[in-house]
Order: sequence, then structure tokens, then C-alpha cells
Amino acid sequence: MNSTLPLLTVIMPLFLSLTVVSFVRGRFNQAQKLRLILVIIFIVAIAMACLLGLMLFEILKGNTIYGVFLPQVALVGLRLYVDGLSIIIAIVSFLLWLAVSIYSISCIKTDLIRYYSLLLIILGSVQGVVFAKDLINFYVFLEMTAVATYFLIIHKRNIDAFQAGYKYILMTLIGAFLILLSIILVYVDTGSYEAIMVTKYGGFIAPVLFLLGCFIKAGAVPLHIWLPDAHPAAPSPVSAFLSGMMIKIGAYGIIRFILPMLNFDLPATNLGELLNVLIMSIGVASMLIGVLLALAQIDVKRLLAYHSISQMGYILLGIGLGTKLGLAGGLYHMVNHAMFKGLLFLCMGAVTYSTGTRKLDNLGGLWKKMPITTSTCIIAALAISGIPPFNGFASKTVLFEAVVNYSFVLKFVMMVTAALTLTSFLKLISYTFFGEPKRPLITVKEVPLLMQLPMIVLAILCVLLGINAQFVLDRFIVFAITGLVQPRSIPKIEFWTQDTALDAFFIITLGFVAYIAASKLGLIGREKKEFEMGSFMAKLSKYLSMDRIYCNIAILIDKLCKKLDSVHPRDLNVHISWVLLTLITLFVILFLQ
Amino acid sequence: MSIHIPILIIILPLLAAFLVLLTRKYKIVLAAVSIITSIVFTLTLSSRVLSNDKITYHLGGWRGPLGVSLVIDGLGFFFSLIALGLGLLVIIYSIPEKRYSRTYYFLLLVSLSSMIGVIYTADIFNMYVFYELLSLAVYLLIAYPKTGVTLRASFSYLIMGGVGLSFFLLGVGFLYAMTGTLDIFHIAERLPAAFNSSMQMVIMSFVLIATGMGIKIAVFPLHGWLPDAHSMAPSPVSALLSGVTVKIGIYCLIRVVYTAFSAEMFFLINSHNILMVLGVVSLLFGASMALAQKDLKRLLAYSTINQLGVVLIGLGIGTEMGLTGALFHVLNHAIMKSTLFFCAGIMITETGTREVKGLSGFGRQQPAITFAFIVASLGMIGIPPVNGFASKWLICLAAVEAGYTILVVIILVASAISAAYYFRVIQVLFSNPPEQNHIPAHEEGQVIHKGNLFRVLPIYILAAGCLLLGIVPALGISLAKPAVSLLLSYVVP
Amino acid sequence: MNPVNISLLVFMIGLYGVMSKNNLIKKIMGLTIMNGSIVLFFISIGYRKGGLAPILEKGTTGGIPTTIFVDPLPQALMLTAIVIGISVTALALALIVKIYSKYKTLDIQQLSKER
Repeated sequence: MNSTLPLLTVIMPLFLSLTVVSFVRGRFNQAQKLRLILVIIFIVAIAMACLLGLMLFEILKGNTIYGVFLPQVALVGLRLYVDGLSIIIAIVSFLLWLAVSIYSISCIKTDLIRYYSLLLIILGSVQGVVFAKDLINFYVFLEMTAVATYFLIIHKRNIDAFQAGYKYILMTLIGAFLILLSIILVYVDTGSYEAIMVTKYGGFIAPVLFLLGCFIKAGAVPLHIWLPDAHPAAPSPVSAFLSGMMIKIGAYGIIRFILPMLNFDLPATNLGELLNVLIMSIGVASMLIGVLLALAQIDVKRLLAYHSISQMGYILLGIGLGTKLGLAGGLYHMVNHAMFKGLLFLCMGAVTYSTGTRKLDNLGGLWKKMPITTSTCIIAALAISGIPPFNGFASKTVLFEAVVNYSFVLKFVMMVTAALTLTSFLKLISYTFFGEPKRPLITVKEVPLLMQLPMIVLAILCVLLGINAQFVLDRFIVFAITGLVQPRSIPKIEFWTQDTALDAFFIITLGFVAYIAASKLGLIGREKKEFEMGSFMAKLSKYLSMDRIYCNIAILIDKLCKKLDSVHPRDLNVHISWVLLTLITLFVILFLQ
Repeated sequence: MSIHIPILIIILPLLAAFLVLLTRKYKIVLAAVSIITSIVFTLTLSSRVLSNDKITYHLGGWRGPLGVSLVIDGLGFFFSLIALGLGLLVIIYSIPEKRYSRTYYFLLLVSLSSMIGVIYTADIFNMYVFYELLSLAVYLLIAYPKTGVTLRASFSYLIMGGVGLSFFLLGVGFLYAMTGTLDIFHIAERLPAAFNSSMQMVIMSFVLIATGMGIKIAVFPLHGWLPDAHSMAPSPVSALLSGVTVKIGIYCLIRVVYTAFSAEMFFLINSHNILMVLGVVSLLFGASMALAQKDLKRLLAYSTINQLGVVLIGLGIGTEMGLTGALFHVLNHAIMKSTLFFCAGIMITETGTREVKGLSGFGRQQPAITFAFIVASLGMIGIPPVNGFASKWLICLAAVEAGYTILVVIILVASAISAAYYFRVIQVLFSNPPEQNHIPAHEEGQVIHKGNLFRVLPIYILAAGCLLLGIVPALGISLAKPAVSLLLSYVVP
Repeated sequence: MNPVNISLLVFMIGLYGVMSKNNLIKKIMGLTIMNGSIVLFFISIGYRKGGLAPILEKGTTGGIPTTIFVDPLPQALMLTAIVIGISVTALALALIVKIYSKYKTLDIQQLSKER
């Protein structure tokens, strides 16, 4: 169906952001700005809900929506295309965006106009990314999201934020350039920007480059180093959106553009095998290393950031399996992760907002003061660890089911990861909300209503998505992947059986055992001494985080450039002799031919 | 009247230049009006030029090969629009600065007029004369503040520029010796015969002209004058230098190489490889030097070397897409770099320091200027909604199509490095100002140029241009199209 | 040795002067020598052995083949080039005066050490 709905969805937030920036002058005071922003959020909420609803309605009838707009714009025009996958991601991102922007009204105090116009740009460009019909539109919106996110990360304007932002923007631009290179290769080879063309490309360079770019965006393990820095440095709502949505764009890119090359119950091709193995091994590495590093953290937001890496590992593993069930599980986990990780960041944001600290050592006993935050946080923690009946359990069950056909070892690794996730969240929850309150925390109050509301809604969504797992899977997830791999149906998943209960029981038991053992051994704990130099966990986190390698490379490049600058002669005579040398060289080269 | 438009476009600013010397009150009005009139005259020719027509004007009615003629074709039109448009903005930007007296505007007008002369003339010796005139004006503009560093920068530019133009003239001498004419189009007709008889002379003249222009363009081993001259000159002059003057060098290179030597011969003696290699070297050199700079304007100056490398790569590839990309990048770079230098001028006058570190807190003082700076630097890096992306994209595509995938990798690496240095500046702009206010020149928090329309208007216009050309690249491409088809028409005789 | 080669040799001498002399004025002298060599070069291109001065008198316009004249064009060009050379030299010397009054030295090595 040809329609302008996708265009409106993409353009409207961008346009509103432009209006806000150009309309607001210095004469507006804080209250007026707040009022304006409330109006804008309201407009966006209503309009986007209508637009997305209309599109969802159309798509559920089995149609797809497409449209080519403004053919003069950006080399090939704005070519948008909406199918089940896009609309699901778009709706999730919109919900998360709404939660984040309502939460921010109370949370963000400075530079409101800049903050909200950037948020609007991000909303519009994320919709653009998921609706992009061809590679070049995808790339353009991807870069817009990346740059807008950079300015949100440095919103606090302190030294941490700048360092994290610098790391983020360099990594993400390198990722984008890899994607760009692969797009150029594909275009020159096939003469078209169409999405499907990555698969038509003959060689293996372009898909691998594309994958690497997506891995950087997704924060997968050897390329993840920007992520644990960016999350703590950004304002909490921004981290929620960053973790909930932005890193999913990497996974979305893989699903949309690389997926058709993976083996879907077809005769195996070499390239497909290679990519499968690549994605899966990256996924497993992310899962394990992410969770291990998370165990060692004492900064709450950094801990959550490492869990994002770990959960992205699940998603990548599901996609990399190359089966319908794996894809469904990955997609389902993407949706769920957006919910519970968004919620977790909002909760930790609330804790930081009230107490002013992010260090686990300084927190404790908040459950009486902040009941809403505590309860929603517990729901999210249970969800991320895969405990029934929350949504994490549902998607992990699908993933287990998908993996067990491939290899039992992988399933075991996944369950261990889930258990360690539980361990780490036991630590987080018990140190933050329980135990004796610390002295400076006596006067802490629950956060304002506007911050509670999004957390409650997200918590309810976590529960609903878990309880109605069967319905969600059949009605939406399978539907979303229909356009991609043509599954008439995916194998039936029983969510509430003895096996799944046993799995969950295993995870819970292992998680608790690991927690108690680690506490007794002093591997995790609030006392500072185990983070001294040379202790086991400190070493582990030092070697696993790989931060140093990247930093050393960056320092090396910087030093080389400085060296070049210092050896570069300022003497005019030298430059004139270079001119003579150039002249002679050109003569020699041209005469020798 | 309408026949004489080509010469009027050149004469008007020159005439105004001398009138400016006579008046004290109306100097700016006079300068601006003359440039605007020239722009209007140029635009009246647009319909003919854009339909691939060529306008020839014989000076004094003397026809070639002996007479001097002016030729306006797609290429000349493209470059003259850039020069005049930016020239006007530079004049507007200079208005609030009271230091700039009549001589400043005189020099500005002389340089603009001689730029147009270089672009329109079909006589290669005449091109040299106009180029010397342009250079003289520019040396003086650089030395205008008469401080020690500017004098030294101007002197070293004079020496290197003098050597470069001597090379150029010697090359012209060889061309004349072979063909007996100085008209570029006649040279193009007669050169193939000469090439067969005395190939060495042709190569000699090519090398001399290419090296001479290389000095003016500041490709890597010949760049010695650029960092000082561009960074020490007053900011509007830096914008003019980086935005337009180096582009005139590129114009001459294109004109001589593609028209006089005819692209055929250009590929025959494999000189496109030389352009490409020079481009790659300047690209990497400019990028890595810029990364090491602490001085804002010096950083921008090295970034010019970086971006000109991209242009040279596009020219060296020489396919339709490569040339389109290169010319489009010339336009984009002119717009972006002059935005950056204009912004840098405001930043330096307001923070009182040239160091990148000293800019902290500027973002809060003047968000609009900061925004313009960010837009232009995103364009420099090549991030999509801004214009730099479109031209880099075209050049990259052309490189892969021509089989030079490695060039794309190099361009992308350089883009990543330029991201590193531009974001370093951007993050300083956003950071909070230090506790003790170390602004020596002004009272605390006083912002002298805030709201000075003449100073910010050019920046807004240029930044809007960056976004417009980025969102609708077809505008710029359609402007470059006649030039490209003209250049390609020389390939197939 | 023909005049073209001699002029190229002189050109190289001038370039050497610009390149290796540390004194600013000597550099300018080098530049002037380069300019002079180019003038020589152009004139020698147009030179014809035994050619007449390229002056057409009244009544002699018809009939005389132009090949017996020395080529007038390079001579005309070189008048312009000389003028340009002089103006460049003048400007350079003016700059040198200014530089000397600021730094009290004409040595380029010492100048590049100044901040």
C-alpha cells in the first residue's frame, strides 16, 4: 500500500524539533519552557500513537506500506517501507521514548530546549532507521541518530561525559564508516541501494564489514568499549533509551540486511555458515564477558551497561542461529530487553536522583523510602534474569528452545549466564534497597510522580509481555518475521511446562548459590578491599574489559601525530627544497614512462 | 550592453576598488554594491551557461589566436559564482570591524576582481597576470594587521607563491614555444601535434604548471606556506583564502590540465595517478597534522589540506562521477570552511585566545554560532544530513567504480581522524567555562558581537547552505553538471 | 649552447638562491633572477636569427612574409612580466622593511625561532 503515513512519522518529530529550537528564545523562563515541552510531548504522543496505530492496523491485515517521497532529497529520495518487523521496533521505540521523555520532565533541569529537541531528533531518526527501504536511507538516519545521541551523552558537560562521549562518537563513527564502505561496495557491485542487495553481493567483504559496523552499534564484545562509559556518563533517561533502543539498531541492521544470507533450513552455503558462526561466537562472548564484568562493578549504571552487553549477546546468538525459532527468540528478547532494561535504568536514575550517588558502597536500605522504585526495580531484575512469569522468562524460553536444537552446551552457557545475571542483580538489589540505610540517606524521598509513572507503566508491560507470552509470540513476533523468512509457522513453544519450570528453578538455585558463594569468598561485596590492585576481580575486569587496547591504540595515533607535528619543519628553505624535489620527482616519473 | 557583460563582471569590482580609495564614508556600500552587481550580471548568464552554451567575448574586438578573449563556460561559471558569493559574504562579515580601512576593501575588491579574471580569461598568459595580481592583493591582506607573525606568514607565502608562479610562467613559455599561441583553446587544438614531435617539452610544461599550481593549492610536499598564512591572517581573510583562493588554484589546474592538455593526453602520460597520489598524501598528512594542533585556526588550516586531498583524488579518478564529486566538494568545502573560519573569528575575538582549550564556555554564550560551527564540522567529517557527505559519497563511489577501493578506505580513515579533531573542538565548546574568567580583552561576560547582524548573518547563510546542499544535493550537482560535461567533452574529441 | 638552455640554467641559479640563502633580501634577489631568466626564455623563444624588428611601416604591409620578423608577442608579454616582477619585488622589500623593524634581523633561521 502506498501511503504517506511513514513519511509523517519520520518527519513530524524532526520538524517539531526544528520548530522548538527556532521558536524558543532567551526570553522564555523555565516554567514557560516546561509548559511548552509538555505540549510538545502531548502532541507527539497523540500524533505518533495515531500514525503508528493506523500503520499497525494496516500491517496486521497483511499489507506492507511503502512510499517514495521527495526524490530530490539525499541522493535517492526518502524511500520508506514498513513491514511487521519495522512496525514492532517502531512501536517499542516510541513507547520507550514516551516513558523517557515523561521521566525527563522531572529529571532534567538544565538546557531543556536542547535536550528535548535532541530527543525529538532521535525519535524521528530512529523511526527513519527502521522504516528505511534502502541502504542509503538507513545510513543517513543511522548517522543522525549517532550524532544526536552524542550530544545527549555530553548533556551533563562534565569531564566524564566528554570523555565517554568522545569515545562513543569515535567508535560509532568508525562503525558507521564500515557500514558505509560495505554499502559502497554493494552499490558498485549490484548497481542498487535496495536492502536485499547486501545478499546479492558476490564476495564476503561487504557483509562482514556491515556486520562489524552493526556489532559496534550493538556494543558486542570485542567492540563494546564505548558502552560501559557512555551509559554512566549520560543522564539516566538517556541511558535508558540508549540501552533500550539505540544498541538494538545494530541488531536491527543485522536482521534487516544480513539475515537473508544466513541459513534458514536451506542447503548450507559457506558464506552463510561463516556469518552464522561469526554472529554466534560474538553473541556468546558478549553474553559471558558482559555478565562477568557486570559482577565486578560497583557503579550501578556501569553494572547495568555491562548487562546490556550481555543481553545483546542473547539477541545476537538468537539471530546467529539461523533458524526461525532463534530469530523469533532474538526479536522477542529485543522487545523485552527494551522494556526491562529501560525500566532498570529509569529505576537507577531514580535512585541517583534521590541520593545523588551511583556507587553501591554508598547505598542501602532504600526500600522503605522508595517503595515504588524498589518494587519496579525488583520486577525488572527478575525479568532480566529470566524468572517466570516476567517477560525475560518468555523470550529466554524461546531462545533455549531454539538453542537446544543446535547444541546442548550453548543452552547450558545461556543458563549459566542467566544465573550469573540473577547473582549480579541480587547484589544490586540487596545493596541498594535493603540492608542498613547509610547515614547520608536518611532524608531520601521517593521520586516525583512524573518519574514514577513511566516506571510503573514499564513494569506493567514487563508483566503483561510475560504473562501473555503465547499471545505475543504468535500474534506479533511470528508476524513480524513473516516478511523475512516466510515461516508458515514456527514450532510450537510451551511456556508453562515442567521443563521450563525446571530451567527456571535451575537458574534461581544456581544464581543464589553463586551469590552466597561469591559473598563468602569476598569476590563480590561492598567492602572496598577486593577492588584493590591485584585482587582477583580487579584483574578479571582489567583483562576482560579490553579498554586498554583501544586506549593504547588511540594514544599511539595521537602520539604519532604529535611526533609528525614536531618533526614538521617550520623552515622556509626546507619547504622550497621540497618544491624542487617534487619537481624533479615528477620529471623523473613522467620521463621514465 | 549585454554583449559586454563578461568584461563588466571583471571591471566593476576593479573600478569600485579604486573608487573605494577615494571615499571614506561609502567604502562598504560601494564594495558590496559592485560585488552584488557582478553577481547579478553573472546570474543573467546562467541560463545560457547551464544549457552547456559557451559565451565568448573578444577584448577590443581582436579575435584569437593573438587577441585576448574571455570565455564563460560551465566551469568558469561554477567557480566565479563561488568566488563572488563568498566574496560578498566576506565583505559583509568585515563590516563591524572598525580596524579595516579603505585599503582593506581596496585589496579585497582587487583580489575578487582578479579571481574572476583568472577564471574567465581564455589567454593563459593573461591568467598568469591576473593570478599575480590576485597574489599581490592576498599577500597584502595577510599582512594587513602588520604584526610580526602576519608579516612573516605573508613573506613566506610571497616567496613560495613567487616560485610557484615562476614555474607556471615557465610552463606557459614551453607551451608557447610548442604551439605559438597563448589561447587555451588554440593550445588544445595544436598540442597533440606537438606532443607527437616533442613529447618531452609537453611533459616539461605539464610538470612545471602542475608544480606551480600545486604550490598554490598547497598539496602535501608544497604546502609550506599554508598553515601560517591561513591561520595568522585576519579571520575574514582566512575564510577567503581557504574558501576561494586555493580553489582558484584548483580551477587553473583543471583548466590547464583538462582543456589545454586535453584530458586524453592527461591520461596518456598517466598524470591522473600523480594527482591521486598527491591527493592521498595530502589527505593523510592534513588529517594527522590537524589532529596534533592546539591552535584553532591552525587546525582549520590543516583541515583545508585534508579536504583538498579529497578534491584531488576526485579529479585524479577523472570519471564523470569523480569529477562531479570533486567539483561538488570544491563548492561544499568553500561553504563549510568559510563558515568555520567565520565562527573561529568570532570565537577568537570573544574568548581572547586562539587555543582550542580556551574556547570552553562559548557554547553557552552563543548557541547559534556554536550550532553553525557544529553543522559545518559535521560536513567536514562527512556525516549525512550535511553537504560534505554527498560529495565524499560521490568520490567514494567513483573510486570503487574505477577500481581503487583502497582510496575509499583511505578517505574513510581520514574522515575518522577528522572526526577525532573536530569533536575535540566541539566538546570544548560545550564544556563549562573555567572558574576564573581569564578573558583579558573584555569585561566579564560582555559579548561585543552578540547581535551584530553583519557578523552573524554570513554564518547563518552559510550554515543554512550547508544543510540545504546536504539535504538536497541535487542543487549543487546540477550546478556542477555543465562543468563536468564540459570537461568530459575534452576526453572524446 | 642555445639561449633556452642558458635561461633554464639561470632559472635554476635563481631557485638555488631562493632555496638556500638565509638572508631575506638574497631570497628576493633569487626571485628576481628567476624572473629575469623567464624573460630571457621568452625572448629567446621569439628570436629569429637575422629577423627584422617587428615594425610594419606604412606601405610595406603587403608582400613581406611575417616569418622574417622576430616574434613580437613574447616581447610584449615580457614587458608585462617585468612590471609584475618589479611590483612583487617592491612588495617583498616593503615587507622586509617591516619585518626588520619588528625583529631587527633579516636572517630567516632566526626569524623562524621567534615566536
